[in-house]
Amino acid sequence: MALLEVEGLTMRFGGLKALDGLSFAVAEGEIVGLIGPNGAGKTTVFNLISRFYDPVAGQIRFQGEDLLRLKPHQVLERGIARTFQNLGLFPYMTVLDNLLVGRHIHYKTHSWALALGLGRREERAFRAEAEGLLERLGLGPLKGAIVHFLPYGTRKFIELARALMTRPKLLLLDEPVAGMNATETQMMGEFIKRVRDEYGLTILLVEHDMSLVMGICGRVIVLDFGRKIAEGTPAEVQHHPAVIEAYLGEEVQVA
Amino acid sequence: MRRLILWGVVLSLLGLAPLFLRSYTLYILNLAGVYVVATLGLNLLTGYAGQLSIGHAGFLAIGAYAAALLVAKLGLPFWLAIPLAGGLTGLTGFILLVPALRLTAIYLAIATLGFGAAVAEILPRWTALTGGYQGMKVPKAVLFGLPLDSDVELYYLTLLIVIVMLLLARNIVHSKMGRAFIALRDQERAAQACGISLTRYKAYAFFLSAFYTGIAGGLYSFVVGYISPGEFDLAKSLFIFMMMALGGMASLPGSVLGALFLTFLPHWLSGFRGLQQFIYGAALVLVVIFMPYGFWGFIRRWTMPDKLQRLPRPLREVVEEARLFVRE
Repeated sequence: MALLEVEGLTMRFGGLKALDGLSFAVAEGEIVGLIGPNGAGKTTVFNLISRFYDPVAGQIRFQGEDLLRLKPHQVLERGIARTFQNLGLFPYMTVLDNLLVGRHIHYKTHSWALALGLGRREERAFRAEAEGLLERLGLGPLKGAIVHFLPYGTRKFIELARALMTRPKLLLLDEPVAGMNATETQMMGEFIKRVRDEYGLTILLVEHDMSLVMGICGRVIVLDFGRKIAEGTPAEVQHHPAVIEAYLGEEVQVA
Repeated sequence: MRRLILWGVVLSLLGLAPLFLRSYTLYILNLAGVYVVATLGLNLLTGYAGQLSIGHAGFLAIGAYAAALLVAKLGLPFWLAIPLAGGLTGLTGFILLVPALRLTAIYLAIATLGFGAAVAEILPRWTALTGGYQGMKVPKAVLFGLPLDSDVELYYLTLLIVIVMLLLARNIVHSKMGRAFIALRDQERAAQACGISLTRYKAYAFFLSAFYTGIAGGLYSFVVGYISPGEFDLAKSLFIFMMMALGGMASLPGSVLGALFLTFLPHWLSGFRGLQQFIYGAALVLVVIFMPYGFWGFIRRWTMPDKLQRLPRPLREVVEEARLFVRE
C-alpha cells in the first residue's frame, strides 16, 4: 500500500485553478520529485498536505487515514514533516532551540510541570540528540548561534535537521537547494539520500534544480497548470514531449 | 560556581536592603516589585508570544479587586487570596483569546484596549462590590495573627513573590512552551508544521499573562492598602507596556530593569517640577532610539556579545507585524 495517496485533488484561489484533479501516490522508501514550471501548483500540493488550505475537491490519505480531517498541527503527529521554500526557521532563536522545536510533540512532561522546573532529564536527552545531529552535519560549533545571522545555505541544512528531529515517516522538502551553489547542492543531495536510508524515510520534494532531481529521485511527477502531465523515472520524464513543451523550449538541464 | 556566588551576593543584598533604605524608598521598591510581576506577565504574552496588548491595566485591576474582595468579603488569608486572584484573573485572560484567534498585531491591540476600557468602566459602576469611584480600603495582610503593615514586612512579601514568579517564568521560557511562544510569534505556519497548536499556545499565553498580572494586582492591593478604579486606566496599561519595551522584549532580566527604571524615574525627577514630563518623555524617546532591544539587549550586546542566546524581537516588528510570512 502506498504511504501517501493523493486523489483528484483540486484547489482554487479565487478564479485561479491552482490544482486540477491531481492524483499520485508515494510508496514507502521512495524519493519522489515534484517538478514543473513556476506556478504549476507544486507548493500548493505541500500546503494542502500540511492542511493550510482546504481543497475544493479530492482526497489525501496517509497510511490509509484521511488527512483532510486533521488540523494543521496534527499533521506532524501522523509522521509528516516539511520544510519551506522561503525557510520556516525561527530567526531569533538559536540553532539548537530551533531543532528542539522539532521535538515539540515528543515531550512527555506536561507543559505545567515544565513551568515548575520538572522534566529536565528529557530536555537534556533531546538537547544531546540535537547536538549529535548538528555534529554530524558539521554544524556543531553553530549550535548557540542565532539563526538570523547565518548564511542561507546553512539555514537550509538546519531546517532539514529540524524536520529530522520530528522523527517523521514522510518528509516534504520544498526546494531544498534553492539558492545554493553547485557544491552545496551536491552535499544536500547526498545528505538527503543518506537520511532516507538511515532514518527509513520517504521523501517528496519540490525542486527546480534538475541536477538534484535527476540525481536523487527514483520517480518524478511533472505538473503544469495544476495537472499532472508526466510521471516516470527521471530519464523517461526528461524526454517526454509534454514536459519539453511545458518548459517551452527551456531545455531540461542535466548536470 | 561564580554564578552561585553572584546570586548569593545579590540575594543577601536584597535581603538586607531594609536595613539601609528609608521606608519611602522601600515603598517605591515594593511598587516596582508589583510592576516587575506585571511586566513579566505582559512580556510572556507580547514579548514571547507576540500578542500585542495595551489593556493590561484591566488584568491588574481584576487581580487587585479580586484579592481585596476575597479578604474583605470572604475573610480568606492574604496568602490564599493572592494566588486565587491570580487564577481568577488568568481565567479572564481567555476573554482576550477570542479576538486573538482572529486578529493580529495592531488590530489585536485595539481589542485589548477595549478590554482595558471596559474593565475601567465596569469597576466604578459595580458599587455593591467595588465601592464605586471612591474605591475601597484593603484589609491588612495578616500572617499568624500578626498584621504585615510596615513597608519592611511588605518588602519581604514582595521580594518572595517576585523571586517565585521570576523562577516560574524562567522555567517556562526555557521549556517547550517558551519555544512554542516564540515559534508562533515568528512563523505561524512553521510552528504548526512542527506540531504546535496555535489555539492552545495562544490560550496558554493569555492565561499565563493574565495570571501574572493578576498576582501583581493582588500584591498591589496589599502594598498600597487602598484601590480605586481611576488607577487602572489606559495610562497604566501603557506604563506597563513601556516597562516591557524599555527593559527588553522577550527578556526576563529586561522586565525587571524596565519596571524598576520606570517606577523610580518619576521620583528621581520630582525635583524638576515643570520639566518633569519633558524629561520623562525625552528619556523614553532616547531609550527607544538608541536601545532598540531594550536595556537588557543593550547591556548584553556590550558585555557579552558572544553569549547572546536569544535576540529579543524588535518592538518595531511586533507592532508592524513585519513577520517573515511563508509565501507561496
